[in-house]
Amino acid sequence: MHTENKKTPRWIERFFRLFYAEDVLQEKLGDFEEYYQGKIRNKGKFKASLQSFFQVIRILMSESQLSLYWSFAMFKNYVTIAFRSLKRHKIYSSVTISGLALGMAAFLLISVWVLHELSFDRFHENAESIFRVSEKRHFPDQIRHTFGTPGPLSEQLKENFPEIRKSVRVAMTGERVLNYENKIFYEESILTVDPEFFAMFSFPFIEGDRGTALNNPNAMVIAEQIARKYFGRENPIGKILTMDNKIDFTVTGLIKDVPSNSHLQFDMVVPFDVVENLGWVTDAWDFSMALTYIQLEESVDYRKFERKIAGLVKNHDKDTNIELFLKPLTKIYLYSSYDNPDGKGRIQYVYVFSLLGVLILIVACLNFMNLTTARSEDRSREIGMRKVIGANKAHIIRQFLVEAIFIAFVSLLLAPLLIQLALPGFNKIINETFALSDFFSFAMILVVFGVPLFTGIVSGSYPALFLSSFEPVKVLKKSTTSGRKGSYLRKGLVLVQMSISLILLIASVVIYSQIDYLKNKDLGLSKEHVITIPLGIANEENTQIYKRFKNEIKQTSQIENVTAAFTHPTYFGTQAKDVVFEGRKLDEEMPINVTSVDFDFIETLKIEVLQGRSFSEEYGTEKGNLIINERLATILGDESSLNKTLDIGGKYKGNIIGVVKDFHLESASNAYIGPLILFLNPRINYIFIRVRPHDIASTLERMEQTWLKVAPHLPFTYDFLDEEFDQLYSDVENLGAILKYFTVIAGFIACLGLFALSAFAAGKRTKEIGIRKVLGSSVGNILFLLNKDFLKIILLANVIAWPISWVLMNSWLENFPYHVSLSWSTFVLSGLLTLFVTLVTVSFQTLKASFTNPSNSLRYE
Amino acid sequence: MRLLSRSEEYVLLAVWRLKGNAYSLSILDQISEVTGYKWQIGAIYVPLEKLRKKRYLKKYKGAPTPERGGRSKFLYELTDAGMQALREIKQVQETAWDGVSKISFD
Repeated sequence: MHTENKKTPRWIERFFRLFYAEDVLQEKLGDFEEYYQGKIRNKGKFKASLQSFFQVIRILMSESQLSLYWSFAMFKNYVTIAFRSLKRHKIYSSVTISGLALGMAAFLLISVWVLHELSFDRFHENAESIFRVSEKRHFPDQIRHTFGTPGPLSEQLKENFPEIRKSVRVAMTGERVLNYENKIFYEESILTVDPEFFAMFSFPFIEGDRGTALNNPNAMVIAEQIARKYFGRENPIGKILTMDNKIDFTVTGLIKDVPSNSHLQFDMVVPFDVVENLGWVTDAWDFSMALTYIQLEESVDYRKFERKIAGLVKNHDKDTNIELFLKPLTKIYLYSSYDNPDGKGRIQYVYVFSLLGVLILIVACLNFMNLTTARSEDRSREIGMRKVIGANKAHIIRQFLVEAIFIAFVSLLLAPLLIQLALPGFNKIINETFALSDFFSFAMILVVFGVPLFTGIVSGSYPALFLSSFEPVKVLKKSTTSGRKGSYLRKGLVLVQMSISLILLIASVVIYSQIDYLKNKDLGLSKEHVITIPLGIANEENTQIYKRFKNEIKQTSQIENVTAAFTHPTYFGTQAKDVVFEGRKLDEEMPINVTSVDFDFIETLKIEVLQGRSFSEEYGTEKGNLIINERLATILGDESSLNKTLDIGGKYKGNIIGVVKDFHLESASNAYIGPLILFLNPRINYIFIRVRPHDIASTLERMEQTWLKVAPHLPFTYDFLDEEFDQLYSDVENLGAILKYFTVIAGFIACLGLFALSAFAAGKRTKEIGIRKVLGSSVGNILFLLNKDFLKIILLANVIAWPISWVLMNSWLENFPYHVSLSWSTFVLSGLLTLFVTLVTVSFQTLKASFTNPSNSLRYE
Repeated sequence: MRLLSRSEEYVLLAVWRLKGNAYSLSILDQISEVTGYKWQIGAIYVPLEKLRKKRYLKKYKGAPTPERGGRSKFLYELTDAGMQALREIKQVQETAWDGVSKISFD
């Protein structure tokens, strides 16, 4: 009958139920009912509801003040109890804490790296209004992006568009020889820039004036490390550095070393005109030679402005297929890469690594949940007592959350130790110089304290809910409480952990097999035992040095062959303009690479000649002769292209004398082999020497002596071609290395959990095992019985992990034009490995349990 | 004696005055009547709870009434300690105000 009288809004009742135990709840509900009914009679329904609402808020506020005091008192008690229970169960505690510490340390490492990546180029004062102008080249079936822009572009932009506040050109000079008195080095990080460069980018100056430092055509701004290298402790300002033994520069500014989170990396800056001395064309609209950066007025919408300038090049070069586009400075590093300035760059790695960090943390959290619920029985009496004394559900939940957060913070204390241990290796892999102090930046402090809080709340949530639902009567009577529900959940948690570990494992294996594949791929040329020497600049003087060096060194029996080329095989060819074949304009169909080489190039790199012949001194200078690759030959047509004529740039008519087998022109990780034209020309930048494989050290010594004889004013530096090729894959390799370590960590944490869980399972079944043994079970039977559960979990983990990793890794591999195909063996072997590791982990405990003498286990009670 | 807040004093006094019919809403009415100031229901629970924790008040379940949707009233009653506290309060108040009436306020 009285249910019909209830008129209080439902939400009030629901709200109170959240906070109050039954008797207090009844009191408040009763009061509100009466209060509400009174209000309805006087003021109507709407006002009554509104006033009730304010009253509820008021209660909440005044009571929370009271409960804060009490919860602080209880908080102390919770921490004390947590501490005691940690001390009492040493194995569980160490497993939980070390698992959490590992997970957190890994997560923090990743966070530091991710924050660093996200901070790229943001230190410039005007970072938000600076953009890089880049080119899109349209071909019938593809679009190619390039950073480079024509030399006159910057000036044109500044003159014609009031939206632009500043505009500068930036070009790299490539490797140059620099000397000061008797100090002589190759330097490769030299920028040539327009004078406004330092007004646009705020690289911090130590000495000199940002505004005027580059006004003088022979001025030079250097970084601290260069100053130390050449001038030691002396003041570098006013000192003279000589480039290429020809041009003198006066140091007018000293800047701090460029931070690693800048996409522009350099040690020295010189005025832009210097590139003219290097023989570059700076006034042509059909030659992309410099990076152009612009700073827009703050109110300008760059998307709109981009449309305004998109077709600018066409005004000056009618035949062009170039469209200009803008890339915000803060997105250059993350959202562009060398071959695709408008695509996804590092951001992919940021995503992958962040995901890894989170997965590891989740594995650690699951571990904690699992262990806490597994030994819930130990705590059940305590919970029963607390409830009898007067704790309600909310109290118990709060207690276990506090306990979890407390343990997470204890684990956090271990993290610096682990991080310190891991940092050297981590820095090496990702090529950075992080120190422990980097973990104390403002953003990191938030992460550092956020992580244990998050970990504690996530991993404490389930145990808290699970444990708080114990009924005091049951647990105090000691009837067993670990129901089916609990054990299914624990198995589920282990399953998730194992699946994550397994997916990581399979991913690592696939990545490593891809790296292996790329490194051992038949490139079409033989990169082993080839030494490369950079010359820095293609001029007559260097050509002479090369010729003398070649003549001298060729006498040595250690040397198989010597040659040279304009470009390096890891990035081969410059794009040719106006390539015409039988009336077809080939360069409008697709980009065509062209480069000059010396005699013996094809022989030294062991490239296979398919048709015709290679360049040979028997035929004199070979002027007007060309060799093309197979790819270009197929484009030219089905019939043999030998002895046909290619017209290059309108002035060079070439006769095709040979076709070589396709060889890779750049990294096999990001491009298919494109069409290529080789011609003979002594303008060269790199020397290639094929040596005999034994005793390379003495060969190198020999080469250095020869070098000092022919070019005493140039430093002798060399590289191995195979290593240079391998470096192209360093990004993938870093991913692989990090993934490998994280797989091990995730696996290790999961094993910690398995270990403790198997100890728990074996412990619970002590008596059962005793009885089984008395009744005649063998050790083998018991072992099977105990391991069976874990075996099932592993099998199921495989079922889950295989399809997920199959899909993931397939889509990853599709990024590579050349890649391995996924094989079943990867999956089966990874599965078997996981199975093996699990069995070993679990068997420590299960073996011990199955060998126990039943008389011991049954003697209890 | 522990000093009580003014609202606690009023509540304690109201419970004593109501003698057996002291529950949250009646206490509220009583106080409003005495002070002439409209007290909110949301403000009553904290002083009640604090007094109960200090063992000046006892709470017990009364009979269910229809106005309360069939729920019981929860009645409050002074304990001996509560009685004692009330006496002391009166004493303190009187001492504190002693002689003040003789002075002119303006």
